Amino acid sequence: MASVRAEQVTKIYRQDSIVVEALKDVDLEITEGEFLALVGPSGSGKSTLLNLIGGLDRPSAGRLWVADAELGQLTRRALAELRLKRIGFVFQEYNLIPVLSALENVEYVMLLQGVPDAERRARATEILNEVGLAGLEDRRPGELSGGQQQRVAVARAIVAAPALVLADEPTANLDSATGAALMDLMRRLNEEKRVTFVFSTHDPMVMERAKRLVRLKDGHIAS
Amino acid sequence: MAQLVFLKLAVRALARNRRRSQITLLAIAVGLAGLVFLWGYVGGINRQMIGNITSYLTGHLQVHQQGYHDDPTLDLAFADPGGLVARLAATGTVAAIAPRVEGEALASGPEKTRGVLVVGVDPERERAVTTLARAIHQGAYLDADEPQGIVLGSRVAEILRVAVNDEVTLVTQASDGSIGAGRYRVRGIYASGIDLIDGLYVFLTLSAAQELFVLEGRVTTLAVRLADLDRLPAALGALTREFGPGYEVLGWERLMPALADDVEFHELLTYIILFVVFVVVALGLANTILMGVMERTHEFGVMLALGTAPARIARIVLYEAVLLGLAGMALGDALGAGVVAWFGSQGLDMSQYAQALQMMPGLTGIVYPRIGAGQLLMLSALVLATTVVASVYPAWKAATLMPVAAIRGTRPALHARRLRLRLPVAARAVFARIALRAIARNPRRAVLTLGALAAGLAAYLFLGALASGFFLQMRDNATDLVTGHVQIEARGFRDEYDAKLTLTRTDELLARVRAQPQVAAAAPRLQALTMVASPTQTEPVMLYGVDPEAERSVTRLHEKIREGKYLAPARPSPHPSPARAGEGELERIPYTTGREIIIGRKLAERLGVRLGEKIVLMAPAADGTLGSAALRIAGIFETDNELLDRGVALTTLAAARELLAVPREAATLALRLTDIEAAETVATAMAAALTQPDQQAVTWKTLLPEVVQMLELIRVNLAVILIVVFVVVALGVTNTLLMAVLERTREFGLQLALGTRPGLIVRTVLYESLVLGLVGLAAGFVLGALIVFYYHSFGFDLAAYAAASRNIPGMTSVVYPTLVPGNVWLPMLALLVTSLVAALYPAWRAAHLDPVVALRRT
Repeated sequence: MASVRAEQVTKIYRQDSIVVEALKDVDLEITEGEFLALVGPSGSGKSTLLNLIGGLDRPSAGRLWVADAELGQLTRRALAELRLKRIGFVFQEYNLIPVLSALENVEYVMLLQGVPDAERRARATEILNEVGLAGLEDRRPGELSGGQQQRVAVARAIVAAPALVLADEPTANLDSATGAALMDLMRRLNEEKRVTFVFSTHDPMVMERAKRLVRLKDGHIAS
Repeated sequence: MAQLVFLKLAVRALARNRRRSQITLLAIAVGLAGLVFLWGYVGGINRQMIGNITSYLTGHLQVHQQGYHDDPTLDLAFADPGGLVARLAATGTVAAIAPRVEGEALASGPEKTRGVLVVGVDPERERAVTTLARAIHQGAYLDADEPQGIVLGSRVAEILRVAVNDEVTLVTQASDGSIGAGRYRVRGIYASGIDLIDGLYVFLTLSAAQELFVLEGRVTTLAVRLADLDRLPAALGALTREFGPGYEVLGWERLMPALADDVEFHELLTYIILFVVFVVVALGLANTILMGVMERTHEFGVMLALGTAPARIARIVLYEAVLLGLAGMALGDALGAGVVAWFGSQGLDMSQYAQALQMMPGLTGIVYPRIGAGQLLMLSALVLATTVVASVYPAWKAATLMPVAAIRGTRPALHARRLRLRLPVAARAVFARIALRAIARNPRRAVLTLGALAAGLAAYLFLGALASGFFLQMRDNATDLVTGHVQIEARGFRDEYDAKLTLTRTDELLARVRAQPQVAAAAPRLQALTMVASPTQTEPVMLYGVDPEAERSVTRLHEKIREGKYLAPARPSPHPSPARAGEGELERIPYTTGREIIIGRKLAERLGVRLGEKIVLMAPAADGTLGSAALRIAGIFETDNELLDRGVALTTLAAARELLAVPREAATLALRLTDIEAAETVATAMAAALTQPDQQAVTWKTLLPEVVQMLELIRVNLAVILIVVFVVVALGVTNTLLMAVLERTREFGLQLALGTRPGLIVRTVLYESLVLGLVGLAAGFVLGALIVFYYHSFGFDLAAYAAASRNIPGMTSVVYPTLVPGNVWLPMLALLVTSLVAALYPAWRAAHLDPVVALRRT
């Protein structure tokens, strides 16, 4: 069953008189349980495609399905709902909420979903344990290293059991050892929990660990 | 050269941080505009008061023969008015000159007679100096073609019971000692709205007045209007030099010292208000500027890392502040002056809010704000200075940043003073938690916002308390000293204090009134306008005949006796008066201790008399004769109020009865209530219970209209100030929250990306505002209450800043501010709502961020 399907997706950015075609007629199908890397040079359209799949942005043309929902048919509110329930995000910049502790950051999504207090706490603690952050639950992002922060971000992305985790250059800000450990973690989660992972990267180490590579060049899928 | 580079850098930085620059600019401009408007508003009221009053009667200045002002007799009339007018006109400083004859006369209608001041004017010339011609509301103004025409004030006409075309007779002592008399036809009736004018002044043509007073071409007064009232001091000096010692040239301040006092007092209040509001504005400004700089920590870190000298960074920050300050100043001046000019020409109609304002001497319900270039310059300089001073601290902070920490956005350990909020169980909702921690994350910003809000509230509370204290004091003093809370009187009694208009069956009425539940005490009185004479001087005095014992429980003048003692209670008569006494026959009470009087210090000084000496009183008696009595001065009181100390005297009821030939009754009953607030209710109930149709019950508000007017004026002014403070505070709160939101664009974007509904983001920002609002208001309340408490204990001595006005009954120079609970809740609630409303835009912005764009922001 397809987790993500893109049909002739095009994205054009306009700023003043400059028109940039970030994606051109992209067709792509990602099935459940994949561990897929979007690769390509800077400006090839990786992040744009991720944003479109995540419903953070809308295509200029073409159609996109995520978990059987056609994104173009969804309202802003419904898109938020979809992101909340079916999609997890990991960003290059970690993007934790700075005023919340590691535990609270992980709890945040479940809180929006209305998961009861006790269950929320238990699952967040468990997942932090799984990503190797036991004992650091009460630290705020500013008190964690980059690798630790990114692990919190991964924990946050998968805690609500989404169908799909989108990760935008997850290792870009990490040293290679930390990056490799993070990739192993995600791979393990992919295999154990059957979570679909899609990440953008130009890190060879990440490509090595991906099960499938989709190469983008100038907004086209090259291979 | 290097200077220019930094100036350029500063300009570019401002242009790049466009939104922040706009916010700061707006804060400066609105703060300045608020101050400009406020000054223009109160300044406008003052100007109007002076302008209107001088235009009704006195003109801007008058020229008399030397000594006329102190002793206005016809002997001091000019022989050659034409020559003087020509000399005045030649000086070039005057706009118009009106020659006048002024003198006293008795005016009679068909039944009534009243003393009036006759002003003989040249109708055409007078129009150019005063505007009374425009206040004619029945008939027409004087015309040189009808020399026997007369124009009366509305009160005079009412008292004389005459209308237009009726005949009025004037009788006077002419300048040659003969009796001057004339018959006139009422041409017109004017109403200036000022009782003192409408009840006293009548106008004739100049020639008719010269004939009446036998002045043969002479005039007593030249009334002058200047082209510009602001040039009065210069004009006075120039004209005094021009005319030399034989003449006196007097400005309106000398001609109407009471008004001058009022204006001076009002100006003093203006400065207090401006100062307090300025503090609020300055805090709001400092707030915005501080945050604008502190937000750019990252940027300064990079500059430092690139090797920019700290001093240069400080300089850039200062340059930016000066540039913003100058631009804000220009904008604020334009905005403020624009608003003042708009309302200055259109008028700001306050009549809906304050009916009494229209009765205040010289004021109308429509205020025309006005501001001078000097005032504008001063406010601009102050605001610019505030801007620059406020930027010194952040400039220093920016220059002493640790580059690495600044770039990474973490504070060096030394400054890591983040507040860790251990939250109460109740605050579990994560959005409340985020809001609270967001506040705690930037404690300095929180403190600044709280400070601005707290200062706004504290300032308002202080001004409100000052006004309330002032009013309550005025009210209580005035009612305590003379009027009591409610007065029962014969209808029309206060028109002329006619001795014939007494109550009937006073004793019975008194007993009934005293039985009322809310009446604490009641005292019977007689009251009359009398002339009091010492061997050297005669003065008009309001005489009260009182029952000393009863009076003590109603009014407290006995506490103000500084020399001698209060009136002694009348000794019980050895021969109780038979019940048949009365019926036109005087009740003979042996008042061996009753022939005493107590007078004010000022009156004693004016009369040149001392304790124990006798003075002679004269007053029209009820039987139509002129009553007179010699009374011994038993005590001298001092109330710190000019009007009372100069114009009021108390004697025993018995002595007053003899003087006024009133056998049994009292003219009024003065009531003290258990609660002055109930005065209206009691008066209404009392009026219904009065058996005689010609009797009425009036409250202190009717008896002391000046106090009520003052209150109204203060109330309206407070409302205007409150609005200005609100605008400034609301803008400050919006600024802070907007900056807080801008700073967290990425965070909100992230929350949105994670699927947070926009409504919840709005809620987070509103929570922040609510918390800041509540804490700020609590702080402001405590601060305001402390300031008020301090001054309430020690008093706020206005006399230290100006010779305070004592011409309003009950007004004293030391004010004890009082917080009235009813005045606290409204501004607090309004400020809270303001800060929530102010948060709406930032909240809306945060909720409508585009997550992709927001996340890309660094």
